[in-house]
This record gives sequence, C-alpha cells and structure tokens, in this order.
Amino acid sequence: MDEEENSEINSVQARDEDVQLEDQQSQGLQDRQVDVIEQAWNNAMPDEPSPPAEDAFQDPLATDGEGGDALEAMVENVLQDDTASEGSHPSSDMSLESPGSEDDSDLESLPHWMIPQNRLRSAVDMMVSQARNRDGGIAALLSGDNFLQRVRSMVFSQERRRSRTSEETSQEAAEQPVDPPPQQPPRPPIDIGFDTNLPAEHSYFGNHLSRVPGVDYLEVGSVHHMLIFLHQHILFPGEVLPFMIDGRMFDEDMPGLDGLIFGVSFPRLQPPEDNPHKLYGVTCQIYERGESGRGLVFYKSRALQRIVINCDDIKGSPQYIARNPTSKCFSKVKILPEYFLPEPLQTVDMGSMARFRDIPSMRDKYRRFQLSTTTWPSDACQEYSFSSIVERARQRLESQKIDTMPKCPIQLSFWLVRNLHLTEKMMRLTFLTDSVNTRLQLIKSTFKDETLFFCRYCNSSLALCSDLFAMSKHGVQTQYCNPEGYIHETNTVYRVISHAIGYSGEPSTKFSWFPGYQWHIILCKFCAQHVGWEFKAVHPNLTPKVFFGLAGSSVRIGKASEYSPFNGTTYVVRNMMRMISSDME
Amino acid sequence: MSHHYVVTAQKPTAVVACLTGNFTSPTDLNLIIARNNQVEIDLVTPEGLRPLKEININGTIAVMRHFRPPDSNKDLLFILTRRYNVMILEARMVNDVITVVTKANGNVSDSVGIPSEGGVIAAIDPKARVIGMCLYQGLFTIIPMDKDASELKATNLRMDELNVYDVEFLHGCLNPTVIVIHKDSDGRHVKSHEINLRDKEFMKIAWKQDNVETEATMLIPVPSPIGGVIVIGRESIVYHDGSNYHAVAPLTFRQSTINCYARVSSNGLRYLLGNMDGQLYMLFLGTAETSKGVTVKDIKVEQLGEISIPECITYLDNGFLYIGARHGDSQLVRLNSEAIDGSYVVPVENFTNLAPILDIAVVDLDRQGQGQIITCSGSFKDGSLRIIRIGIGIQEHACIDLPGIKGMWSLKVGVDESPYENTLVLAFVGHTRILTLSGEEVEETEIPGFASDLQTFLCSNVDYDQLIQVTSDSVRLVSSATKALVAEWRPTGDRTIGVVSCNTTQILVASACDIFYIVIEDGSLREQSRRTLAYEVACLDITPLDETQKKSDLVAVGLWTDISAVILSLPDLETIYTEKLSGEIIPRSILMTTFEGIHYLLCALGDGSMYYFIMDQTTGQLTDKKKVTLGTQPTTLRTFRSLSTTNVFACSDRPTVIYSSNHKLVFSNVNLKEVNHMCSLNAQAYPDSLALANKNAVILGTIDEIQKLHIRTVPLGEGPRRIAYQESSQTFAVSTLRIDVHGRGGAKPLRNSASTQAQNITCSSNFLPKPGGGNSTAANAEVGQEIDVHNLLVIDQNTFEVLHAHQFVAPETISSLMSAKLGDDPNTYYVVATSLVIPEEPEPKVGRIIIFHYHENKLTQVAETKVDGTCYALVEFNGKVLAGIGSFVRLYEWTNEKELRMECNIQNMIAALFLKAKGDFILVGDLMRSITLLQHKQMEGIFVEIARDCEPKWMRAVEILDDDTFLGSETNGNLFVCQKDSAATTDEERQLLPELARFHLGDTVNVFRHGSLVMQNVGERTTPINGCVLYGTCNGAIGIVTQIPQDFYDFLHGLEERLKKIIKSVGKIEHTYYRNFQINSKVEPSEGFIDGDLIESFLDLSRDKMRDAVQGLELTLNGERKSADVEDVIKIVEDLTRMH
Repeated sequence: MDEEENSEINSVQARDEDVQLEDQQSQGLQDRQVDVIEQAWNNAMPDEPSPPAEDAFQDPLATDGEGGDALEAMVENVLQDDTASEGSHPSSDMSLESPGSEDDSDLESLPHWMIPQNRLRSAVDMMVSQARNRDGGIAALLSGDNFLQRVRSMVFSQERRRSRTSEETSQEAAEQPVDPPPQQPPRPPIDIGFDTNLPAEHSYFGNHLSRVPGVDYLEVGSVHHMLIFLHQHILFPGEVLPFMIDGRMFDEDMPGLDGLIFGVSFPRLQPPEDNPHKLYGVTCQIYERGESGRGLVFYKSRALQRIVINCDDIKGSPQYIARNPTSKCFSKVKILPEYFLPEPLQTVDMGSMARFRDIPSMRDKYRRFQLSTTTWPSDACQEYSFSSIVERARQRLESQKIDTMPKCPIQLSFWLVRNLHLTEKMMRLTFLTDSVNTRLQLIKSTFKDETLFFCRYCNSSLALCSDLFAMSKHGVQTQYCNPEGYIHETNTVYRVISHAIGYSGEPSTKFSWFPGYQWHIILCKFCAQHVGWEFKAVHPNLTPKVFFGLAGSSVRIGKASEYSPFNGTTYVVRNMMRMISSDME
Repeated sequence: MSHHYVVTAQKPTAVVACLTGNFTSPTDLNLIIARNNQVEIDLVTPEGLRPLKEININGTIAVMRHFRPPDSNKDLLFILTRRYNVMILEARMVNDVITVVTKANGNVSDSVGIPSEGGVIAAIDPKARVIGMCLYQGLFTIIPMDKDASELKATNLRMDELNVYDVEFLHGCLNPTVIVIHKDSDGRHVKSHEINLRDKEFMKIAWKQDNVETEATMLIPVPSPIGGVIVIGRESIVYHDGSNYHAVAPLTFRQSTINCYARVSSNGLRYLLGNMDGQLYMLFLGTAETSKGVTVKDIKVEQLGEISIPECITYLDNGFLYIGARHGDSQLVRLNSEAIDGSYVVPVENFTNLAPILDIAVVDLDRQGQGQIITCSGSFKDGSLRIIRIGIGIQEHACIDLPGIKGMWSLKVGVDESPYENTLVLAFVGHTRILTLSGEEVEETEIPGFASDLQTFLCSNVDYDQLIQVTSDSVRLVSSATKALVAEWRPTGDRTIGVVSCNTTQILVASACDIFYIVIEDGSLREQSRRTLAYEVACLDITPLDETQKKSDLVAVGLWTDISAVILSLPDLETIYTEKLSGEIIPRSILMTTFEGIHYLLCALGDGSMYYFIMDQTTGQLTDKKKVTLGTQPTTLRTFRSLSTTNVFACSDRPTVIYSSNHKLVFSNVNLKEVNHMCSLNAQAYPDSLALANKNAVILGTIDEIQKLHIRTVPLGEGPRRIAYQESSQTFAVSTLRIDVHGRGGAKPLRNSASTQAQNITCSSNFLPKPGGGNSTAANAEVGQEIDVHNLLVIDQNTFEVLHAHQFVAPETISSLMSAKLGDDPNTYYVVATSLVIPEEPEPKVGRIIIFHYHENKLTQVAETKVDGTCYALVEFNGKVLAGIGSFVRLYEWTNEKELRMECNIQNMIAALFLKAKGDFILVGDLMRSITLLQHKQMEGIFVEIARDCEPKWMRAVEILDDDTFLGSETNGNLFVCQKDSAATTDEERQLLPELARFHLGDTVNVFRHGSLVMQNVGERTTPINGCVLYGTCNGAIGIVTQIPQDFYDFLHGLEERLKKIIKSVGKIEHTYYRNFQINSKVEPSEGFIDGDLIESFLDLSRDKMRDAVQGLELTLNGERKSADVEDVIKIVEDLTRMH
C-alpha cells in the first residue's frame, strides 16, 4: 500500500514538474487541441513506423470476437449520449474530473487499455460519422466541455460494458486506481559474455566497408546548405546511424564541408507551441561506407550537431532515410548552439580557501564562504549543481552495465538522454533546449520515475526500463538497419514482462545485429503488433543466452505509475480526439 | 547600438596576495600587496607603511610570488593572472622615481587543458631556476628561467596526480624538486618530483609519503639547511624530509582550517599560521644538531590571538605583520612578547576593505542632492556597513550657540609673533561681538578701537601689526598691540560703505557706484584713487593672485543691473575687461584665486549658481566660462588653506569646497547641512580649523584631508547580506547572517555582534512544520555544529545604532528585503521574504513574505503570506509587491484588510533571482537564463513576456538603463547590455534581447543601483552622459556605468585606441585582450563600452604624450567638427572624472 501511495505522489510531483516545464499558458483547451492535433499529425504521418520487413505475416487488423459487440456498444453509447445530460456519470472516471486537469502531461501518464486499436478506430469512426449527420458537424462535436462530457460518458459506459466481460469489475478498478507495477523477480546480475563492440560496428553490413575521412563540427549559428532526410526516431548527437541507400544520393561533393555531412530531421520533434515552419534535426557525418550490390550502399554515420531547418528553405520533398529515398532534397540548415555553464559555485573565486574544496567535514563551512561573496541563495546553487545529477545517473546506469559515460558535459547530456530512457515528451524537451544545464536538469526530473516500455499500439506494458542493459558499447539504445534498409531504434532488455509477448515466424541468424545470436520476431501478446525481437545465443559461450530488442517505433516509454490494468479512460479519450482531429484535416 | 562608459570610483580593496621583500632597492624593505588587478608597493618604515607606487595590470591577479635571482641583491615579482598571463616585474629607481618594468612576460594557457579544480597554484624554485604551476588537470606547467629571455615560455609535464591541493619547491635540492599534496581514491599523499630542466621532464620521485592526514591541504617548505616540508592538516602538523618524520596534533588545533602562512625567520624555525576563523597561530620547529646536520626534533604550535579573516599573511619586521583580507579590513598588527588578555596580537592599523559588497543602498540622507552609498560589506565576524560618500568631512570640535551671525573673521590680536590666531570677530545686525580663544575656552572680549555698535563688514590683520574693521560708516585701522584706533577713513558725503574687500596692504571700498582704493600704511589709511562705475557694485575682491605678493594689481567687481564681472587695474581703477554674465541673477560674491598655478575668477550668484573663468594675470582677460550650481541660496565664497593648498569654501545651503585636482576644479560637498559664513581659524586649541556659522551656531572644527571617497565603517560582527532604506522611519533594514554554534543547551552565538546587542531583540516563531515531520535539523544538531542564524536589523539612519534585531529560527533564512509603500495604506513597510533552507533537501521549498511595520521603536508584524518556494527578489511595483519566487514572478496586491493577495503570476524562469521594474516593465535576472523582459498588463491582470536574451549565463545582477536597454553582470566578471529591438521585422526577432555591448570588468558585480555619488546637475557638462548606475563588486570596488551618445562614444573610442598604443601596460597584457568578453571558451571582443579607467589615465600622461594621443583625433564641439587639441581633450576627460 505504501508503494502505491508513493507512486501516486510521484506522479503528482512529476506532473507538477511537467507543468513547470511547459509553458504554463498552454493550458487552455484550445492549446490542448492544438497539441492533440499535433500528436495526431505525428501519428498519422504517412511514414508512421511501418512494420519492419519481417512483419509481412502479421495481420494488422487482427480482430477477435468482441469486435462487433464493441461497435454496438459504441452506437448505443452515442445514442445514449444524445439524451443523457452532462455530468450524469459518477466517480468512475477519475483522471478527467475537470477539463483543466487534462494538460499535456496527461499524455505521459496514459494508462494502457486493452482494446485493440482497430476496434477503437471503428468505434470512433462511428462517433464521427454520427457527428457529421448532426448540426454543426465535427466542429460542434469538438467544441468545448460538451464534447468532453460526451466522450466521457461514452467512455464510461464502454468501460463498464467491457468490464463485464473481464475478470474484474469496473467498480474494483475504480477503487483501486493504481495497481503496483508488475512485480518481477529480482534480476540476476547480468554477465555479458559478448563483445559489445560488435553491434556498435554494425558488422551485419559485412566487413568490406571503407572509411570516409573528415569530421566537421560546424560553427554555431552558421547556416549551411546540405542534403536532408527525415527519420522516424530522434537521434541525439553522438549517436550512430547506419543506413542503406541508393549510392547516387551521395555522389556529389558537399560544397564547403569536410567529408560527407548531411542533415537528418525529425518530424516527431516538432514542438506544438513552436513555429510550425521549423524542423529540428542533427547533422550526420558519414564515417564508413560499403557497397551492398543492387545499387545500394551501406553507410555508417554519426550524429554531430543539432540543427534547425526553416521549412520554407527546403527544396524538394524530404524523404525518410529508411525508405529508400529516391530524390535528393536540399535545405539550408542552421547549427544550434550548445551552451554549457560550469557549476555556479565553481565560478566563485575562493582564493586561499580553495584548498578546502572537498573536505567532507568542512562542506558547510566551505559553502558558507562561497556564498559569502555572492548574493546567490544557497538553495538555488544547490539545485543547479549538476555533479549530483551525473553521479545519480552513474549509479543508475552502473546496474545496467553501462560504463561508457562521456566526460564532456555536452556529449554526456545527450548520452544520458539516450541511455536513461526518457519519455517521448522529455526527449523532445531535452532535444530542443540549447542549454546543457537545462538538459541535465530535465534529466534529473525523471530520476524518480520508474519507467516501463508500453506497446505503442495498445499500451500493454512490455518490459521494465530497469531491465535495460547495454549490448552495444553505444549503450542500451542503438539504431540498427535491416536488410531492407529500415532503421530500427532498438532497446536491449534482459527480459520482458511475463506473458506480455508472443512469437511470430521462425528464428533466423541472417543479418543479425548481434553476431552469434539468432533473432525471432516478437509480438505484443494483446494486440499482436510487432514490438521487437528475441535474441538467442547460437554460440554456446555467449552470454546472456537470451535477451530482447524492443523496436523504438513500436514501443513507448511511460511512467510506471501509469500502469493500471483497467483504467483506460484517458487513453480512449486521447485516441478518439486524435482520430477525430486527424479526420478533420 | 548601445554606448556606455564604465569607470571605477573606488578601486578594489580585497587583498589577493601580499609579500615582503627588497624590491625598490637592496636596502628597502617593501610590502607588496595585490588586489584584483592592482599591485601596491609600500615601503616599510619605522613610522609605518608608506605607499610608494601603485600599478595596474591588465588582468586579474591569481598568484603573486617573489624570488631573488642568484646574482641579484633585489627581489623580483612573478604574477600569474586568471587568463594565464605571466610576468616578471622589477622595480627600478630612475631619477628618484620608482618605475616598474616588465622583465619578461608570456601566456601559459593551453587550449585543450581542463582547468584544474580549485584554481591555479604556482611556486618558484628557491634558487630561481624554474617556476612551476598547476593550471590544468594532469599537467604540471614549468617555466625554466632564463635570465635574458623576455618571453616566458611554458612546458607542460604530464603529472599522474590529478587532484592537487598544494605545490611547493623544496629547498636544498640539487635539481629543482617540487612537492605536491594530492588525493586519489586511497587518500591524500605527499610526493616529490625532481625536474630535469634540460630535457624538461620529471626525472624521478625523490621521496613520497602515502596516506598523510585525509584532510591535509597545505605545504610549507622549510629552508636550508633544515629542508623538508611541513604538511598542515586539520588535526595534525607533520614535518617530513624524506627520512625524518615528525607529527604533532596540537590541542589548540582541533578542527583547524589553516589557509595561509608566513615565514617569520629566514632560518625557517618559526611560522605564522592564519585560519578561516581569523585566528593567528605561531608554529615553532625545534631542531637538533646530529651527524646529518640540523634536523627537526619537535614541533610546537601556539595560539597568538585574533585577526581579520586572513587571505594571506606576511611578516614585515620587528614583530610587525601585514594581514591581507578578503572578508574584512586588512591589518597591520604587532606581536607582543607578553600576552594582553590572552592575546599577543596588537592591531596597529586597519586598511579599509569593502569586499565583498553584497548589496548597496544609495540614499540622500541630508537631502543635499548627493547620494551616499551604504554597502553590505564583509562576511562573518568581519561584516560591516560602510557609509561611502564623496566630499569633505568636518570633524566638529566645539559648537557655540549664537544665532543671527552675519559675518565672521579670525584675528591675531596682540600676539603677532605667534602663528596662532586668538580672536574671532562676529558680526550681527547692528552690532559686533568679539570672542577670545584661550585654550579651548571661548570668552567674549572687547577691542576698544573697534566699533562694536555697528555690523562689521570686514575684519582682518594687516601689515604693520594693525587690524582693520570695516563697518557701514568707516574703515577703522586699529593697532594690534594697543587695540586702539589709529586711523579711520570715511567715504565723503553721506555715503555709506556697501561692499568691501582687503588684503594686508590694500582696501577696496564700494559705495553704490563709487569705488575707493585705499592703501594701508603704518598708522594711516591713504585713499589713492576713486572711480565711479556705470552700475552699482554688488561684490568685489582684491585678493592678490600671486600668493607671494602682498598686493594685488587687479580688482574684480561684480555689478548690479548690468550683471557683469569687471576687472579693474590698480592703482588707477581702469576697467580692463568686462564679462557679461548671462541671466538676471545678480552676482553676490566674487573671488580671484589661484589653483595649481592657474588663475581663476569665481563669481557666485544669488541663486546658488556660480560662474568660473580662467583669468589672465596681466590683462585680466577671462576665458573658459563655466557655470555650476552649488546650492539654491545666495552663495558666499571664502578662501582657506588646507594642507598648504588653496581652497575655496562656498557658503550656502549646500556648502561646497572648491579645489583643484589634476588642473581641474573639483566641487566637493561638505557634510554639513547649511553654512552661512565661514572663516579659517588656526588657534592653539583649534589648529588648522575652520569656524563655520549657520543660522543658530558657530562650529569650530577641522576639515578632512581633501579626499574623494569618505568611508565610514559600522562594524556589525556578522555578515550583512541585504539592505533597504526607509525614509519615513529614518531607518535602514539590514539582513544579516550570524553563525551560532550548537552547545549542550542549544545553539549559542559565538561572539557578541549587532544582533545580540540590539536595543530590542525579538524572535520569530517557528512557522512551518519541518518537512518530514519531527525535529528540525537544527534541533538535532551535534554539539559544535555551526548553524546559520538570520537576523533582520533595524538601524538608525543617523547614528547607525541597531534599534531592533528580529531573529529567525534556523533553518529559516532571509532571502530578500525591501521597504515599500503599498496600495492606499499610508504606512511604509519593510517587506521581508524568508525560506526554509534545509541542506540536501532541496524540495519542497517553503517560505513566506512578511510585512513588518517599524513605528515608534517597535517592529510589528502586520501580515504574512506563505509561498511555495524561495522568494529571491522583491520590488515595489506600483504600490504592489512584485516577487521572484523560485521559477515564478508574482505580483501581490495589498488589500484593505492588510493582506497580500496574489494578483498575477508568470513562470518561465529557472530561478528569478533579480527583479527591477520601470513603469509597467519588469526586468528579470534569472540564475542561469540571463535576462527576460516582462510587461504587466494592468487591464488584463497578466504578465506578458516581451523578450529575452537566449544565451545562458550565471547572472549576478541586472539593471534597467532605459526603456529598451538592460545591463547585466555575470559571474566571470563580464558586463553586457541587451537591447530590445522594437523595429525588428519578425516576431521572432522582437522576442530576442540581443547582446549589443560587452565588456570584461575583471571583477564580479554583485549589485547595481541607480544613483550618483556626486551632486547632480553641477554645472554645464561638456560630456553628455545619460543616467548613472552604481555597482558594487566582489572585490570591494565601486564603479559607475552610464550611457553616452554615439558621437561621443566614437570620440572616446578613438581616444581609447590611441591610449592603448601609448600607455604601455605593466606586464604587457594587451588592453584589448584584457577587456575581451569571455565566458568559458566563448571569447568576444569588447564593444559598446568605453573603459573609463583607461580614458582617465590620459590626465596622467606627459604633455608630449597627450599630444601624441590626440593626434588626428576629431571631435564635435558646439556642433562643429574639428580636430581635437590637447586642451579640449583634457577638459572632456576632466569632466568625465567629475562623475566620481
């Protein structure tokens, strides 16, 4: 019970923080809708993380017996809703007590809900078509509290209906809002008997790659003309991006640049409040290349610096790098700065007293002397000290066998984002800030959250983030390329939550990202979407024997506090609004 | 663009380093003191310290050490700056003038090195073969010394020791040998490295000692023949020389925090140690003769007494030592052989140190139109308030209540051989009174030859031991010896005397339009000439311009109606020059005087303003007309002499002393409210004094040595952090930090201080439950633990007595303070913000804003409101309370129910530490996110972010210069100005506050305040400056930032560029390099700021160099562009210096 309370408190605090981080003025309904629309836009991207090549045998519209029932229920609900007055439903839906509470942070605390997406979609389709037939159309549907009320009541009845068929009653679910996250047995110590350099080398490309010379850090604020692509995952500087592409794409010399540099930008990063004409990304420097035949070339590149692109400057239509782009697209890109400030109190000149800087018994006295020459309050300095953040991160990651922490604070900040598994919103915020200190501060705010991997499609929990470990020297999360040229952001976990996954197809060793391991496609047990791979050692002396790779495009990181098996109302509302709004576009 | 002028008014006072050696000559014992960017060379004399020379370095001094080359009998100075410039300086006597020459210089920075933690360390081999420095992690930087090389070149040696605390060179080693104290995961170790100078590498480890005390931090090398090193720890002292090892743990030394030492004797047996609490110890090495030579056999430590919290100590001679301090006054102290009250330390002299200045209040207490600065200076036991004002102080020695004085003169009566005056003549309406000064007593007396039933117009000692008294009727000549009337002169007809002036041989009398010239002879008055002028005479003067002359060849006359100043020649009273004074105010007082060899005519008008001219001694021609405003009442000018220079005292409602400095007139305020009449007085009991009369009394007093800034110290004994002034209660509120120590019965103050000795003491109730419940950290503290106790002191504005102390219970700390008038409430309140600071528990933070009313000696809490964070800043905003609370800026309204009610709120800061407001605009200084401009929309009741500077910086202070221009100070000693670009074409650009001006000040500004140190609106400035912001720094400097127009900036910039070339800086660091704006690795050239310190050094140049400097310089004078000549530039620069 204690734990439950804690997690609740955590979530409340976390929410507060989110609010702090967000522009507080974006709390109005309008903003929320914009936000939702933006989310929808992300989801409805033409290149929405499509199943990898191996997914061919997966039925995207897997249905079960309940499909029809739900549809009926939906109609029933909508009809009911016409007559039912506002607020006719009691306490069961708690996360939507007031519209004001539903800010962007809710997105992060989505509880998962076990309705396959296709069913939800058809239900919402129904609702939308219903709205079309009425006065005011979709706009009326969307307007204000009324809409929310109706969605609420629909969700509520839908929930109740669903719960009748499930093992537990909705009443119980309401009384037990937050179940503790699944308790896994304590993890045995991971012993990696595997050369973690191998995956980092992307040896599945073969050994016939040749180096491409040149490293070019471009001047901050300078504007360059370069080839750009889109990518579905967010890359942070320092990360390696392997890809396979038509060799003609890079034929040309890059004028004025040292080596082969191109830009990769992330539509997913588009901040809702920001100018929609901006695209953020990174510069990537190619450091190795190799022919693969069929006119395709393997490239290995490393992300170097963050960039911003004004969409008006794009010449041609940008294409996803992982989708065999056929045409070149150039744009002007501007290099974003990385501001780093050392610890505030380190800038205070202590003269002859500097010798006492790290004597534990003198810490208070020393700090008092430091503060005696500045008007800075001690609490502010303490809070913006980042060494404690780094230390906590180090402790956290030590258990995950990650020890390649960079020293340079700028690289470190990016490295931590990749390895600490932040939620998508946090990722976005950490990417968009120019200040390394702020980035570390954002990272710090996530420390108290226990995070889980959730299925992006149905929100079932799949694995604990604490089970992540580094199979590659680059860390727990690495971009890998499959033979079709798709790039998978892969998170390596030691295990998955029991009964969360199913298998598909046959295991194979072909093109394995982890030499010596065979891969086997895994599916979300609930919605049967592809979520990653199981890797099994084929060489007897490799350890771990088994591990899992979760595909970044199919999983989502969320806070453990979201884990509540039957309270899925918010999620439903979200999804509906998303679909409705995408429908409106 | 944005153009600014920045100049230092008070140079930095915090001492970085001090040392004793023979610099200026082999026999001179010199004390060298380093302060921020300055080096002061003093001579140690039996009478005390005598300043010889002050030099400026274009850099912030990090380390200063001295050494003696093997073949020399003089010491040289080595200086390392924060930007890794190094220099070796030598003091040379050239024609009795000390010049400091740069023997060698260089830069030892390494572009890829990671700066070592805890700053730089440097040491010099005792045989002066090599300088060794710890600048970067894992590197030891050496500069091999080559006698003739003028460039210092560094070589980096790889060193395994990463975390180094101290480095020294051992004495008596064949090869230069460094010894380091460093830390690794096992503990702290001492290790020596021998350096091979030829190959520039470490040869071997001569010896080492692993695992010395875990908190050892300091090394003291022992000179030959003993050699070895003393390692100072927190509990123990160890002597080690590789074979011999001695350790003591003196009882007096428990938990010691020794941070500096000085060697007393050259044989290396005695050392002085100073610690962070301001205690002085002596360390003795006991030695024994053995077969191996002299070896150490025991160590003794004795506590000597208390000193300022030291930064550095140096032993001068004969038991005298100099304590350099950063947190309080530096000291000259003497060591007694006998303890007095348990202390061997006798303070001899204190040297004012304002550092660190945490806050300042600029107030005009006397309503004289001139600001005074009250600083929060010093820390801990050395904390104090400093009252700083520019001007002249009068030390009052006696006061005689005598209302209605119309004139006052001092005379020698009957004692002509004596240098002292003994009589004071006072004129009243219709009568005259004469006072005799016998000793300190004052008695009324009579001089029979004087007409005491008439108002005296003038009185004076004149030649032939005679006295003069002038009344409306006549001029009376009286014998000084007999006091009897000798001769009398009356104007013909029924004319009465109107105005008169005399010197020792001549009298000039005016009656309406007539003017009479009378020569004083032995026993007679001879009228030599007379003349009738066109208008009535308003004032006149016959003071000889040449001080050596007894008679004057010229007469200055101020006329009615015509409003003119006329120069007449003597003896024929011919008009030789007429100068029309513009305006309709008649001249009231005219005076010819000579300052620094330049002749001036001063003419004060009836409205308190004054014209002054440069006067030609022979032709009487007046040039360079200038006007100043001295007061608002008719002004009388009198000359007096002080320190053998001529000064003029302007008597008015704002008494002013006029003197000359650097060939320019300086107008200094006198710290008296009103002076109607004055005369100099040199009596036996009141030597070199002045008699000053106001409406009610005569004050006899001495005038301070003419000096720019007057600093008065109000010691508090605890560290002041914030100050606010409240006019209505005539008090200051000061928040202070006192350190209490936990004993068995709870926390007790360590010593008496302002808050423990206040007239009234109250204590705030502990207002909030501790997070986590249960006991507070303070209550659980161990015995001996130090606790911060914050106090709110209410201090009288005149006496600076602590009227009230309100103590907060730890861990409640005062985070901000202001005085404000809120809403329609007629009262003025002190608004105090507090927060609970619990170390290592940053969240959740709670605090409160408390409204106090100080009235009739009582401090009452009127209201309080709880806030969910630390309130870092408070500003009065249109009768409301504007607060920076954590990441929020909030506005609180003062309701009729006397409560604070939140009106609006914005959050987009990290920590809103600094707030300034102007109109509806609010400037927010964030801890890290530079500055943000907000606007309060009153109608909507919201804040709107207008623009912000996007480059993160650790901010130390902000200020609004004008509606669009904002000044910021960041922690690396840089100033910058951001400007709102209202004309920007895109929204995005409009939301930015681009950095338009940058400057490296070399000192960290902690506080900005609008205000001026000098009288405002004094005269017509030739320099167009706009606004005036005062700043106070970490190192105790006070300076001024002001805005200047573009054309003036261009002119000064041109002059600056020329001066950079002409003035060769000691240490040869380029001025441009010094002023570069540098934050971490980002370096940008200084722009938009004129370095006033450099500009003002123009006045110190020789005439030839001045000519070089203005060569080709163009300036706009009266709308006309012309090439500048030396005189023009001098005038402009002088005018600039008048800002401080």
